[in-house]
Amino acid sequence: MEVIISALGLLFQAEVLLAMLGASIFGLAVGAIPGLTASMAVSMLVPLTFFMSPLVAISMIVAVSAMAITSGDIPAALIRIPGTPASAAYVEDSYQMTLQGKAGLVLGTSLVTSAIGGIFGTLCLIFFAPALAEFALNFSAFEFFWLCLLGLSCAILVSSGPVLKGVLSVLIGLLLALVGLDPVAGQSRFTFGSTDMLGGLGLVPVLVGMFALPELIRFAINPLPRLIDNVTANTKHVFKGLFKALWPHRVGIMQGNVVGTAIGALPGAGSDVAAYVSYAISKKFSKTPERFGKGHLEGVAAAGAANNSSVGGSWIPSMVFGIPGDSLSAIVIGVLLMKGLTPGPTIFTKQPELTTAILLSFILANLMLLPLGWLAIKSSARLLTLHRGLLMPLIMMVCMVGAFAITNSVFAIVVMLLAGLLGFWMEENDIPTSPAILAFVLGPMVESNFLNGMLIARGDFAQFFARPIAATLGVLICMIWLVPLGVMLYRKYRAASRS
Amino acid sequence: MRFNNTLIGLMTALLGLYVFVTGYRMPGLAHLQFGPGFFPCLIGIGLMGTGVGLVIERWLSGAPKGIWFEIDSRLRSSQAQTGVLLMLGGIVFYIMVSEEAGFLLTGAVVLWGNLWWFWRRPLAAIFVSLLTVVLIQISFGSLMKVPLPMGWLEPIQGVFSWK
Repeated sequence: MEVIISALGLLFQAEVLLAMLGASIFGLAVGAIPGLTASMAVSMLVPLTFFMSPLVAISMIVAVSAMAITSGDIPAALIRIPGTPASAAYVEDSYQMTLQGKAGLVLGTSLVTSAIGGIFGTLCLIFFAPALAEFALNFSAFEFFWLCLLGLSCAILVSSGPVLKGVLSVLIGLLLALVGLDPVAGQSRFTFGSTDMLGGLGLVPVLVGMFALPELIRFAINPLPRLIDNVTANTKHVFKGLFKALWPHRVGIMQGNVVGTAIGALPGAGSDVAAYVSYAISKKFSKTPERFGKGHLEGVAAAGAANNSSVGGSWIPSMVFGIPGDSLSAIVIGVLLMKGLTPGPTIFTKQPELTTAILLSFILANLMLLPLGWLAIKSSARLLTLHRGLLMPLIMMVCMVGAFAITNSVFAIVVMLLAGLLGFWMEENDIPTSPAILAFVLGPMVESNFLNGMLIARGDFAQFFARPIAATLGVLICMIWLVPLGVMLYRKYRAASRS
Repeated sequence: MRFNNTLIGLMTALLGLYVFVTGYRMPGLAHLQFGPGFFPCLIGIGLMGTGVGLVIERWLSGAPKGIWFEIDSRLRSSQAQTGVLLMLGGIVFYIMVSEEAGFLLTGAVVLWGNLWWFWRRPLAAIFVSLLTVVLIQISFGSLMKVPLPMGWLEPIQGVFSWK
C-alpha cells in the first residue's frame, strides 16, 4: 500500500500529467492520420524522452501508444482507411455503420471498448507481472536465450508475408545489432574504422528511419494532398445510447480483453494480430456471423477491446523478462535502457515505486482516452482534411532533429537515412520491418545470453536443454517451427497420394 | 523498387558470405572459447541459408523468369522523381551543410524546399519554415540543451532567445 501511495505521488505531478496530456494529443492526431502508425508516433517521441525523467518518458510513451491505436479507428470508420494497422480488422464494419448513419455509435464503441480493454490489460499486467517476475528471478542465460528466440520466432510467424522473408527481416535486425563493440569481449565489429559506429547504430535513428522514412518516401512518390476533401458523417452523439448498444456484446468485449492481453503477452505479436484474432473468434461464435462485414457492432466491440488490451499485455514480457511483446514495447525497452533501467525481474524489487507508477500511468492514460478521444472525434473532420504537403515536410524535419538529438552528431541522421532506405526497400519487397526492429533490440541480449550459456556449458549445446524451464522453452520453440512444417509436408503427401 | 526473390536470395547469400568470412577472420581471445566472431558467423550462415531458401522457393514456385527487378511505375513521372529527390536530397543536403551553415539556415532551406513542392504555397512556406526552425531551436536547443549547430549565425548567438 505504501508503494502505491508513493507511486501515485510520483504520477500525479504536474510535469508527468502535462507530458501525458501533450503526448495524448499528439498520439490521437498521429493515429487519426492514415499512414502514420502508433510505432511511428512513439519513435518520433523517443528523442524527446531522452531529456526527461524515466517516469515522464515512459508515461508519455504509454499515452501515445494507447491514444494512437484508438484514434486509428476514426479514419477507419469515417473514410474506410484504418489510421493504424490495429484498426484494419474491423474497418469494413465500422465504415458500413457510418454509411448507415451510425458513425457516432461506432466511434463511441471504439472509444469505450478501447478504454475497457486498456484497463483490463493493465490490471493483468499489475497482477501477473510481479508474480512472473518472482518466478523469473531463477532464470539463467539458458532461459533468457530461449525466451529471446521465442520472441523472434513469434515475430517471424505472425508477420505478414512469406516465412522466409520474416526470417530475413530478423537476420537483418540481428546484423544491424552486431555493429559496434561486441557485448562479451568488447571488440569492434563491422565499424569499418569509424569511431561513430563504435557505440552501435543507435536505436532511435534506426527506429525513426525504418518507421517514419518509408512513409515519407511513399508520400514523395505519390503526394496526395488530402485523402478526402470533406467529412460528412454525423458524429454528434458519441456516447448517447452506447450502454444499451454494447450490453448485448458484453461477452464479446470480455473475449476481446482476454484474447488481446494473451496475444499481447506473446513475444512478437502486437495489437494488429490481437484485433484480427479477436474479430475472427467473435465471428466464429456469433449467432449472426452473416452480419459481420456489413456494419455489425459485435466484431467492432470485441476487436476494439482486443487491440488496446494487447498494449498492456505486451508489457508483461517486456517488464518481466526484458523481452519485447511487439515493436512498440521494443522501443520502450530501448528507452528504459537509455534511462539506466534494466527491464527484467529485478525491476520490481529494485524500483517498486517507479515500476508501480509506470503501471498506474497505463490506467490514467486509458481514463484520459475517453474525454480526449471524444475531442479527437469531434475534430476529426479537421484532422482528416489536413494538407499532407504541409504535414510531411514537418515530420521529416522533426525526424532529422530527433535523430541528431540522441548523439549530437549528424552521423545519426546518416544512419536514419540509410535505415529509412532499407526499410522502404524491405516494405516494397514484402519483407516486414517489425521483426527487424525486434531483432535489433533483442540482438545483444540473444548474443550475450547465448555466449554466456555456451561458456557456462563449456561449449556443450545440450546444456541449453538441461534445466526444466529452459528445456520446456527449447522444445516449445522446436515445436513452433517443426509442427507447421510437419503439417505442411503431411498435407502435400496426402494430396500427392490422392492424385 | 521491387526485386524478384531470386535476386533477393542471391544478394542475401552474398551478404551472408561476407558476414561469415568477416566473422571467421575476427581474432579470437585466448581465454574465451567463443570469440567476437562466433555470432556473426552464425548470422552469416543464417543469411546464406535464407538466401538459398529464397532462390529455391522461387524456382519451385515456377514464377516467370527474366524480370530481375522493376521500378515502381509511379516513379517514372517527373513529379514523383522531383518529390523523392527533394525529400531525400534535402536530408543529404542537411547532413552535408548543417554543421557549416548551422541548423537554422540549413533547416529553413530544406523545409522551405519541401513545403514549396508538396504544399504549393511558396510564400506561406517561407513563414512556416522559419517559424518551425525557430520553434525547434527553442524547444530542442534551449529547453532540452541539444547543441544544434549555429554555423554562420554563431556571431549573433545569444542575441535572440536561442542562446
